[in-house]
Amino acid sequence: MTFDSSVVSYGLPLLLGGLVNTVLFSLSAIAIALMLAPVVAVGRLSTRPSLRWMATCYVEAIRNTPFLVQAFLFFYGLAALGIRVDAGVAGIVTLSIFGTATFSESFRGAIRSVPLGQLESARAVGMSYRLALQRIVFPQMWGYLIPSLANQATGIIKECSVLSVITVPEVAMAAQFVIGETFAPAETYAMAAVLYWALTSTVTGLMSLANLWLTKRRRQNLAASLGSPLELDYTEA
Amino acid sequence: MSGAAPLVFRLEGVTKDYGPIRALDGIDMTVRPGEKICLIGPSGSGKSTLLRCLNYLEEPTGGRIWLNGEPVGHTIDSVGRRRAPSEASINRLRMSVGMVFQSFNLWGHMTALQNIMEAPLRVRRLPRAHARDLALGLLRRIGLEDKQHAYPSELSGGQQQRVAIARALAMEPQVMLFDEPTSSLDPELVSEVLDVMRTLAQEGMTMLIVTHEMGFAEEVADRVIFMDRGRIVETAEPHRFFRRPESPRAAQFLARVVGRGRARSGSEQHDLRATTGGEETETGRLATSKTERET
Repeated sequence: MTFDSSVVSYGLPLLLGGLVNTVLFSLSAIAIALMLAPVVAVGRLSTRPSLRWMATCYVEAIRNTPFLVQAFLFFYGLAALGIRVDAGVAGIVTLSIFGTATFSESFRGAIRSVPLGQLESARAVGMSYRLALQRIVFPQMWGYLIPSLANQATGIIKECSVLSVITVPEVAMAAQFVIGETFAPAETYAMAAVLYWALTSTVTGLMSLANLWLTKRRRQNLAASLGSPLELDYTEA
Repeated sequence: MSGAAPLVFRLEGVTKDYGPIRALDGIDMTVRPGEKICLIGPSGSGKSTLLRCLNYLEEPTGGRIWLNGEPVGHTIDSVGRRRAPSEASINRLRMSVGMVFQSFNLWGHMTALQNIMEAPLRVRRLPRAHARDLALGLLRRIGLEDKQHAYPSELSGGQQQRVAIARALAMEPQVMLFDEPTSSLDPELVSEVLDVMRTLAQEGMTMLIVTHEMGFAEEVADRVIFMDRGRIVETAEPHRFFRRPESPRAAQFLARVVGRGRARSGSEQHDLRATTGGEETETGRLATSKTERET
């Protein structure tokens, strides 16, 4: 196979245009998921059955169905109900719903990675559950949380390509357009792959920097980790 | 309920069930201001559960608790139903009841000073300078002023536990609960923690101590409460308790724990094992693991 460089000069600007959208969509979804996921995670760890049940149903429904189906269902489902949604809005909403569910699992694992005794001693001095999470649990979970989040974030970026099916003009859709014009799928998809790779590794790189920064000066208290935190249910003490 | 000062704690029929396992089985007790009470008994007897019910780290299943004559925790309404307390009322209760844990539980991302300042700042909402002075004063009292900027991982177990005591004292509680404070310490570090507790006792703090340090219990306690299978089996003045326990269960327990050397005379040991081994410790372990899961 010969690599046709004219495809690059024609296709790259179009793919970069798509990349702008991919960045926009996936980063918005990541930002929204970062805000909502802790709430869902705390809901899943709640002692209140109704809260726990709702959060669990949501997370399991999203995690156990393909994102492609979720996107279709949201976009065409709303259309069938007579609600017209802009493809871009639908894209961000579905990707955020998906991202929140996957991120919430990272948060749940991270919260549980902090030994239960840390929360108990916070509650014992009279802190509310909320304050204890904010001041004691959350600051100690970064080391566990960030690598897991970085993993899930690349998942969101990759799933973003699925949004082409509901006509969001991101990289994958731009690639299809370029192929239609140039009849060079190999070159085009190679370029698309490199762009995705560059984006995901930038995001994971930034996240490991964030991890270094957040865990700087934070020491692990070995004595506090007596016993295995993974065997404990981390609900409201 | 006589005398001028109200009782610090009064418990009436307090029970705690973990599913089919009854960890506390009708506890009645009172704690007078300034009193030092040591809770002793075999593992799984409910000592720690009782302590944890007093500050609602465990929710009692039944019975009633008063702090300073005021009902705390679950209340009984006019129709006789048990009503769960609000989070705010439990936080208020915990502000007057300090607790020290077996595993210290100092917050790993904070220095010794920050650990002590945190609750005064965030819970009592003291001004920062005030909280700092309070914390530094406490560090001086426990002899760790030079370790104020050390993180828990940089402190020995004994030092961590002393900081944990200071952290609880920073709330200026009315009563301190100690849940086996020296049980996870290396033997050579036990005395520094007991020294701090002894000083605290001399200063008149009301203290409830779950401990296996029988010498310390005998020296410091005004009263010893011996528990077994979720019940208070014997309440006694410590010197009498350690010399002539009334209940056979307490006598067996003491023979095992205190008189380990003396009691080890062949057949007697077999008897003890037969009566106190197997099934009961099993229950204890079940109850403990259940506790951890449910909190």
